[in-house]
Amino acid sequence: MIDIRHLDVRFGRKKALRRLGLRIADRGHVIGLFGQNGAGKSTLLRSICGVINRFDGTIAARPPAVAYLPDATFLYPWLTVSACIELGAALWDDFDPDVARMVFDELGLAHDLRVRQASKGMSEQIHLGLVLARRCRLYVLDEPLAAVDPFTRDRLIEMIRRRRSPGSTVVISTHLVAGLESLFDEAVVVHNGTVVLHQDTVGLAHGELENCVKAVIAADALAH
Amino acid sequence: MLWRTEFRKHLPLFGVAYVVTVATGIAVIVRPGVLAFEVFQALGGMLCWSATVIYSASVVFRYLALGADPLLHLGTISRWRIALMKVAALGALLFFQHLIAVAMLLRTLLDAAGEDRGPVMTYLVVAKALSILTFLAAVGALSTASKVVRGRAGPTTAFALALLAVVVAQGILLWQTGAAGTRDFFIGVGGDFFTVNLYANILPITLTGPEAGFLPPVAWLSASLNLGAAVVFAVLWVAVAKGRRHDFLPL
Repeated sequence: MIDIRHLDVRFGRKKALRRLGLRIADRGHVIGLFGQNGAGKSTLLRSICGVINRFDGTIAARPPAVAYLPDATFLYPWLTVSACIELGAALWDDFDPDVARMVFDELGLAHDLRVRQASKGMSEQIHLGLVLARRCRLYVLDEPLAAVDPFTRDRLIEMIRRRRSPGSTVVISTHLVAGLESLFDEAVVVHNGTVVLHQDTVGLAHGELENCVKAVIAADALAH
Repeated sequence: MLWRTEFRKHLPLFGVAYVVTVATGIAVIVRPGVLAFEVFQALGGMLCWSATVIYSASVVFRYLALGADPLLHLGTISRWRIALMKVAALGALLFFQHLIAVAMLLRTLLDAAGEDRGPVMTYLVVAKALSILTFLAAVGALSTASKVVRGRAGPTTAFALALLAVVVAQGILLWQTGAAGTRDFFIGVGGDFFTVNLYANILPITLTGPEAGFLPPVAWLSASLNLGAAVVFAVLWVAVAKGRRHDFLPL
């Protein structure tokens, strides 16, 4: 379990997170992280992954390795898909090249495709494929569905679903709420740098999660 | 794969530097005595060397202080191991550039060195290798230390000023310990018989004068000072790296 308490992160004078508290249990859940632009979602994910290390507060029991998909792809443009797999194997000791090949085959990405030739959505798929090919206790995906077409999105969602296992928790930051109720087991809503809602979503009907997220954000905005 | 990727990243600039060094060198070999070619070789070599040195410093600084090359920061391999890999790759590329330059000047150097060919060539290789090592150790230590300053402009300014101060301080130290009062000098590389090339960190300093010869004791002294400085900066780098919590991606 990751136990985050009183987390404060500042960028200059701006406070990105304010005394944020969150517990992520090892239940093999897929957790949706929702909030408006600038709410602090990416900062929270980066803190969880250890990318941000200068903060006040505590993040306890963070797993030693977290499979993190950042909100931008950092792959080198000259690499082919198969070279990306080789690089993944060199970069992460928990990386499974066979899983990566399977993921890329499933997504229809040719192994000789170069990153520079790929569209934005395809680059993100390559990066996501590399992340999903790791064997970790925690997957943190920052906007993995933002730039992909609806068909590919469905395939990616299916892959993420398959990643769900008792030993692996997946945290996904996304603006896409509608229609994804069945993907998430828990919802976390961040507003103004703090968690304003954390609840189970199992059993929510179509559209209920989106309405719930909107209502919580509106209520918090009114309260402040 | 990590090494291959690392070398591939730097190939565009170093490739150009290698081509320029070889092309200008061959022009001088094929048409000896043509002043224009000799000027091109000297200027080309100086510009290429300056460019690759500044580039190497910026690569290490941007990786360590500004979080550039984010993919490598997200690996399970230690960031410091990757930093060492970067330093080693850049060091190898710089050293290879020096070897190419020496190869292009080989005939001139061998003729000038006369019977001292062995020691002279050894000095040219070893002294430059130590100079590159010292430079990259200083860059690593200062980059890591400058990370205590937040933002981009602050660490960049602090790093650049500190590196300049280090090179100047090493130059003064070299002058005071071995070179003062004996000869004139200029900053840069000279190829005449009556010159000797010394290195204050990465900065080449050329002593001139009829008594200079090729290998006076001060030459090996400059190499020894660089070796000592390299050890100091390496220790400093480890100490600074252990001291603080850092953020590692551009935020």
